[in-house]
Amino acid sequence: MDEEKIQADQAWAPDETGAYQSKSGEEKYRLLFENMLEAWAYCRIIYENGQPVDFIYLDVNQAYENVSNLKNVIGKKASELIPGLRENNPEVLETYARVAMTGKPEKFETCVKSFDKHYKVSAYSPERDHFIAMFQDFTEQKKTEAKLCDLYWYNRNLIEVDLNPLVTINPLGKITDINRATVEATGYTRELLIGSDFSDYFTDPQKAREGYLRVLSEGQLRDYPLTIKHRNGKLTPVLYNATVYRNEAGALQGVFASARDITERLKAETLKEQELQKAIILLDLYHNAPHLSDKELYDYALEQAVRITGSEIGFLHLVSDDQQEIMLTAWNKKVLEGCVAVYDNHYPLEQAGNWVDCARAKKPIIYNDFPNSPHQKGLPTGHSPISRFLSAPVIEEDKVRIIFGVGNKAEPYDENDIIQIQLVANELRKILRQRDYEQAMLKAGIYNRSLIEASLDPLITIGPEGQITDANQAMEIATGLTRQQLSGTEFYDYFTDPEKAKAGYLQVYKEGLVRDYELEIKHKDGHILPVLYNATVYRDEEGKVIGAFAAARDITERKKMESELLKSKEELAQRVLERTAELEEQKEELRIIIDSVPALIFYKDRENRFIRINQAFEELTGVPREQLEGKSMFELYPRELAEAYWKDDLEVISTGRGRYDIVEPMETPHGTRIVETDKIPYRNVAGEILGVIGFSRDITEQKKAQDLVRESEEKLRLILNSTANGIYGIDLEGRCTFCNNAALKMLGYQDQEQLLGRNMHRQIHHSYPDGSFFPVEQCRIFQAFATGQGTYSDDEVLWKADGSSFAAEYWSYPQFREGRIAGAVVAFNDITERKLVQEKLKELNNDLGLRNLELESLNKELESFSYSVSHDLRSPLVGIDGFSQLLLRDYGEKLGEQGKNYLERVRNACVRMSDLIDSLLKLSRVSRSDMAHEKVDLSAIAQYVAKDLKTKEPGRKVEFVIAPGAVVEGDKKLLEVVLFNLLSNAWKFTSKHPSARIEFGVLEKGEHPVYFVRDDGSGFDMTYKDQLFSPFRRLHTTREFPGTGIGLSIIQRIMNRHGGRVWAEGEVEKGATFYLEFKEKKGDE
Amino acid sequence: MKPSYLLLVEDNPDDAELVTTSLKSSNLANELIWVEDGAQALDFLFCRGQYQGRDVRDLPAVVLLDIMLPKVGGLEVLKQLRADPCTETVPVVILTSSNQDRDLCEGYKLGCNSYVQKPVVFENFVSAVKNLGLYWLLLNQPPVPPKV
Repeated sequence: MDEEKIQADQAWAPDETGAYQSKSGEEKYRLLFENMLEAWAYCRIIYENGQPVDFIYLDVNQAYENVSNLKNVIGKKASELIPGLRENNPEVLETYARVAMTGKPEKFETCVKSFDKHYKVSAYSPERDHFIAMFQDFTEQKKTEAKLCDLYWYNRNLIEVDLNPLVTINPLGKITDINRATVEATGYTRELLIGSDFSDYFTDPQKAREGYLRVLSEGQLRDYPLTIKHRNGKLTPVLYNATVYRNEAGALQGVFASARDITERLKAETLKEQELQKAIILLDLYHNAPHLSDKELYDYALEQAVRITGSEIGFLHLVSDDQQEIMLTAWNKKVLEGCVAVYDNHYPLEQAGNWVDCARAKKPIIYNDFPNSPHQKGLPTGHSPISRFLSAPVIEEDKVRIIFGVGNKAEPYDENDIIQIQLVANELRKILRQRDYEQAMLKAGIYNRSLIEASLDPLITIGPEGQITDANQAMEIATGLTRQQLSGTEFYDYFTDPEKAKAGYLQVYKEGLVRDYELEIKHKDGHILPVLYNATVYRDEEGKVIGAFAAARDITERKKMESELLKSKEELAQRVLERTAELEEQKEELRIIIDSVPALIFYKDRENRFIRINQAFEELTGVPREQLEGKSMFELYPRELAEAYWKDDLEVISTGRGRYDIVEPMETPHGTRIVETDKIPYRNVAGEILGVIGFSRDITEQKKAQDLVRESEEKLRLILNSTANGIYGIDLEGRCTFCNNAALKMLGYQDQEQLLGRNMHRQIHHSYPDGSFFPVEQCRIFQAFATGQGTYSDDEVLWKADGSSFAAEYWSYPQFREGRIAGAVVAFNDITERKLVQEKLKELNNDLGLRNLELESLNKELESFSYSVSHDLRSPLVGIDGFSQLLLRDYGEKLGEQGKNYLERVRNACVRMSDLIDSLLKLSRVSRSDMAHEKVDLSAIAQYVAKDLKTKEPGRKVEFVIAPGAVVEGDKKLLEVVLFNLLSNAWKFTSKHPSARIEFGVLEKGEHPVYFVRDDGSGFDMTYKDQLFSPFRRLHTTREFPGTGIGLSIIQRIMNRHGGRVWAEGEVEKGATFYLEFKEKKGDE
Repeated sequence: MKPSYLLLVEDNPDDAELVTTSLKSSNLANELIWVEDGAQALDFLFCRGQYQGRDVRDLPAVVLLDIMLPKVGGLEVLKQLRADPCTETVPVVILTSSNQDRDLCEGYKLGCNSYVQKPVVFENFVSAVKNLGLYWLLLNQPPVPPKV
């Protein structure tokens, strides 16, 4: 769709009336549209709230359906047909709406995503809100373009990532394109490079241009060497491959050139060349070495090192063995050219500059920027200036031997130079070592020769034909001939027995060696030298025998020795004789010793005969030795006794074993003695038993003492076994040493043997009462050992044989023997019963404690009760009485007599209530108050009370009879209350009688005195005597006799508290008697 | 300044009225100030709380003090009075229904000047109160007032 067409379409737009110009025209165009190849659609915009939101298809042609792949679109909305159009392609609706609004045609391209199609669209408006759109599908074109584009970038990337510099050049020699590698190789930007002359970037532009022309003429070029020049001067050797390239029509477009960086390859080649050179040098070095002195060798090696590394200067230091000093050994002239300082060849390593850093670090060091290198010490004046250097140590056995240095190479030194230097250095060292070795070998040869010469033994070497090939000085002396004279002569000529010498020589050849072959060397002056020959064959490198080596030892001395030996043998025989005499002497000594021993010693033969006896034996038996020695026991003693003695002897003789501690009686002039005898076999030197040797000790006294001890022990045992206490003894290890019967019985054993030697703690004391393990370290019995003092325990158990236990108390006392603890004696008792009683007592005490606590709390309760009674119960009474009185006073008139009477009764009741409360409090006070214990004179109190009563009511006729001297022990205040109450009662209850008698007296019946108060008043009916002492109980009305009924209760309590009692006897109108009994002994509570 | 009034500390209004009535017969009723518990008594005497601003030196001729009192008990009131220099000398008479040894002991120990058991019989009550009033207001020589 182009410009003209749109204009043509517009010409067909409806006129202002909105009608088309002619029907036939419409039809004609309809056909045209219908058959047009271009797609076409006639639509109306749909508005919503004045905004275009959709459009509706009014008409389309066939091509539209083809292009859009939509069918039956007429009358349908775009939103139905192309879902997502508005969202994905908002510009489409916008554009259509604009066209429909303004009537101005527009063209645009769009990619309808729903179809994945690209359209070129022309739209115009035939009438307001309507538009016609014409479509051209260019999807395929678009896709091809995209593919091309991709391909381009793919190739481009390939070119870009190529590490080789690539360049395209047009026929005029100008660069048209380059890749990144080219940028890097030249150092110029892409912008600068493109359009510039390609040959400018090579070291040899002429050669570059020649290459280019060759490409053009030959179509291609391979491995054309050029060098790319970087902007900063760096050179890159490359090989160029280039081809021409043409367009599709075959017209020449330009040259495509690809360079390959061959820097590395060149380096490798250089290296190879260096290797070759190196090999040549080493070969030279090796080859030349034998002709050179050490100094020359150093110079030569240094020269090679300087040359091989491309250096200008070089030096070589040897390092002393102690690593302290360096010695400048070789240097090339240039180093010290013009050096004015006298250079000292020897120099302490410590002070040297950084050219010996390699020796310090023990590795090669490169200083490529010498002026700025570390550890500089400066250079001597005249020393040639140094720009850079490389130094390398030669190390052997961890010691630096040589320092090699080269310097001032044009380029920086690198690893490769180090390798070169090390190679030369090591080779040098190798040669030097070889030299050292050769010298050492040379020295060794001389040394061996000297050894041979120095030997005092005559040595010769003999050739295969038997001729002497060499001889040493000793041989010269032995024969009296010079080496020259000996050399080449038959060797056996120099021996006294040539045949024997020859035979020996043949033996050497046959067997490889001979040893101690006896010969005699004949001196030319006739004297003879006896020798022993040792000889071996010796061989050449291939193992072939080329001669014999014979060494003779001069045995003149030995021969001499042999004759001396003979002499000494004779001497020895003499010595033996002397010695025998000495032994005889010693035997006599032995006899003296035996005789001096206080024990009895005797020898007997197998026949029960005494051979010897000692003096002690003689003395004890009182029989002279002469009468005993040689005599049989049977001759000396009664047969029975002799046989008994002999029996032991025979046992010793037959078994060969001694019998010890045989205790026997022995009859002596001093009476019967007890002797203890050891008998051992009497052997001769060959070990044959000849009889017995006896040693006897008189133990009579000892025996007596032992018997005494035994006796006292027996006594002790008797005592032990008759006590009721269990007693046993233990040694330091806790083992039972004895145990008495009581102990056995209590512990449940039958026999002491069951316990003796047993560990008693483990046996009877192994566990605590609760059955838990009782470690012996905690055992108090053992503590007797530790502290040396007795211990006691009564809270443990002992365990019986049957596994049961009983509570026991025990004492453990350490036993001392010679001031040291030797054991302990333990005495124990079964305290099961006692424990039970104690337990019970404890329980009772506990109970009592509890009861006491209860009582205490009860007491407290009572006290707080009475306190509250005193305050709170009494308080309202004041109000009741007070207001009753006020009522009477202020309103008495209105109440009338009856009313007043009632109020009076209220008031009386009040007063009585108050009295009752007071009485109650008094009663409780009696129970609670503390008791004093003192002498109280009851008679005096009675007197006082009587007087008081009489004073209060002087009108009454009452006779008081008071017995004097009634003194008791108790609380005075309380007893005052008792007597006051009793006497007041008597006073009160006699008030109805015109006269009365009141008596206070004592009854002396029974153990304790009984006091009484008696009256002859109204008395009481004995039926009610038990009620008398109950609180508030009264046998009379208040009107008859006033009172609260608490007085007697108080008396009873007071008497109780004194441990006494009160009781009454009476008869109505005859009087009453109240008795007070004090139990003085127990009277204190 | 001669003390001119009695301070009655009594929680029971009946008893308070009986005291007042008793004093009336001697024309002493106007000289009675009545507080209802121990706390109030202390506030009054120490011039604090509702009695803030009262002159501390204006002490009663006698404090008639009950023992069983709400809030602060009578014996505690006594203790505090004796502990403060301003009130340590003010005369205190315990007037209570109890005649328990314990109360007597404690009261005297703490320094009361007198201990009177409220008589139950009204005539005795009237006479006791009257005597107390007359004695302490008229007869007794008051302590030297503290210098504040």
